[in-house]
Amino acid sequence: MMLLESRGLTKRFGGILAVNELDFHLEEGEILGLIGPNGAGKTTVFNMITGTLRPTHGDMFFRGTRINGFKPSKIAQLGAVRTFQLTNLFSDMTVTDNIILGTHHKSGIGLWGALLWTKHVRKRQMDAVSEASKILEFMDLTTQKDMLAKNLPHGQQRCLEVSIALAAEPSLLLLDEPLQGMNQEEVSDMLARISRIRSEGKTILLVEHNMKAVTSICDRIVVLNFGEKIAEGRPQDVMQNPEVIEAYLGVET
Amino acid sequence: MTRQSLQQYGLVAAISLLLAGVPLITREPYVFHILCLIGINVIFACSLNAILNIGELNLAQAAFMGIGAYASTLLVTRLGVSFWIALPAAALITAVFSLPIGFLTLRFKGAYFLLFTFLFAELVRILLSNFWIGLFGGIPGLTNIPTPRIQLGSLFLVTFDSKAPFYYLVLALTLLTILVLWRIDGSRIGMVFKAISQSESLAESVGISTMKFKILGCATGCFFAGMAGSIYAHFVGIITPSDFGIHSALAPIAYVVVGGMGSVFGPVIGTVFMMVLSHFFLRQFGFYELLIYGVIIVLIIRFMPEGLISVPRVLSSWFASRRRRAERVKGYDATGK
Repeated sequence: MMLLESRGLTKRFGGILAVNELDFHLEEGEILGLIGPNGAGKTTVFNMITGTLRPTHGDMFFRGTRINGFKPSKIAQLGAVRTFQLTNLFSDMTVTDNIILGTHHKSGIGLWGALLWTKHVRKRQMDAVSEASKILEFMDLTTQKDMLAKNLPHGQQRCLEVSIALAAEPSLLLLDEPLQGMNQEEVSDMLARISRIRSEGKTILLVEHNMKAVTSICDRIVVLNFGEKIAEGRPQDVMQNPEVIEAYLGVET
Repeated sequence: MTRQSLQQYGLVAAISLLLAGVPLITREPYVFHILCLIGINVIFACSLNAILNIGELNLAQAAFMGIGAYASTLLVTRLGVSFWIALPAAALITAVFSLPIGFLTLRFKGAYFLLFTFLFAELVRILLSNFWIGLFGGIPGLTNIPTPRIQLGSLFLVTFDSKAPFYYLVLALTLLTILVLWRIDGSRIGMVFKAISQSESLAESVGISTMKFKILGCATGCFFAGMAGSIYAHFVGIITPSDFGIHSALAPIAYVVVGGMGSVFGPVIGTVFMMVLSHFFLRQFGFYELLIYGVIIVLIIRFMPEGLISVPRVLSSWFASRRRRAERVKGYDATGK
């Protein structure tokens, strides 16, 4: 089943055509890699899907619903949750609180309930804490759970970002360069986790520069260059594509 | 989630009891007058801080206090409503007033929000001074605002014209403000406010409707600003548009910074510290009062950027580092010999 589909997606910043007539789709349960050289428009596509940017024209459908012009929070509530290219955390809060905030939108905690600290809210709070500890265990952050997010080392901060997104229970997880700045060991741990997240039934859209990682983990790859799709298909096929090689390495003259 | 401990509740209760006992020590009207002003300013500083909690500084906070003051006064003088109804009504009116303003301005951040609230503050002042003079009284404002009273039958009558009863009224309302804001701060709602002030984009991306929460936070702050305005009007007995201009918000902003932004008790401590200092100690320096005042603010910001609320933490870490240094020196002596 098609989870996400874009038709003729275009974004123009003044005279610059950042994304041009992009058609692509995501099948339920797959990992799709979105790659391309710097400035190819990957993050712009990301921002349009998650509602941070409004497309100049073109349509996006999530589970058949047209999501153009939806606010980011609305899109997240529908089930498409992103992480950010630059580390973005609630930095003065503990690791656990960061994850609890990820669960907030579906906790059903209302204003009066929260103020009066009702039984329902107490139960929900306990649920959130136990869910947070499950995610922490999965991400291997349990010993750091009471640390402030800003005091974590970089690799663990990236893990925490994915944890917050997971806490929001997305059906589509959009990861914007999750491996950036990680060492070899952290990269292989993270890749193993991404595979496990997928095996639990989530769909993943991955933007990444680490080619080895992308080809090893993705089911399909879409390659962008100057805002246009130049190739799409299985990793091994795409990597043989002369246009892709040209975009990445240049061509001999 | 930060939960309030029993000790903290105990501390607040003990301080309130001490403050309730002040009339046993002194009958000086001046002292009561200043204490009431401090209470009103504490409520105002807390309301300012409630909006700082969602990450924005509202320069129009005094204008919202003015809306509360005028609403309460007009309800009492024109419609003959009792003060006890006018007080919560004025607070509610102010909060409702803040909803469309918040809806329009909260989509702007930082300096842009600041500028819009600056404009709004001026707009309110100009409207109150120049339009509907029959109702608002123009630049001279409204006078002869009656003091609140409680009358039960013909036997029991408390008029809040003398300072001591009014002092208890202000004390009770200040305590109410602190407790409500404390409750919010410790709840999930307070946690979401803090999250939004730290990273709005992340909060939004995990499905938190940030605009809704920002409007809610703004309305909460304005509710208490309106309450402060209502008490102020009935305490002073005369209000003018210039009481609620930009400059009236500046001193409380300094109180909040001195006490410590972001925590519930920071603004309380800052307001009490700065006002007690200026009214009871700096008065004697005459011309130099404001100078000394300024130097104190600069020193606190330089050496305690997190405000007076961080004093225990700063002191304990200072002692710890001194102890460590002493141990190092001792260790060096031992190896040196």
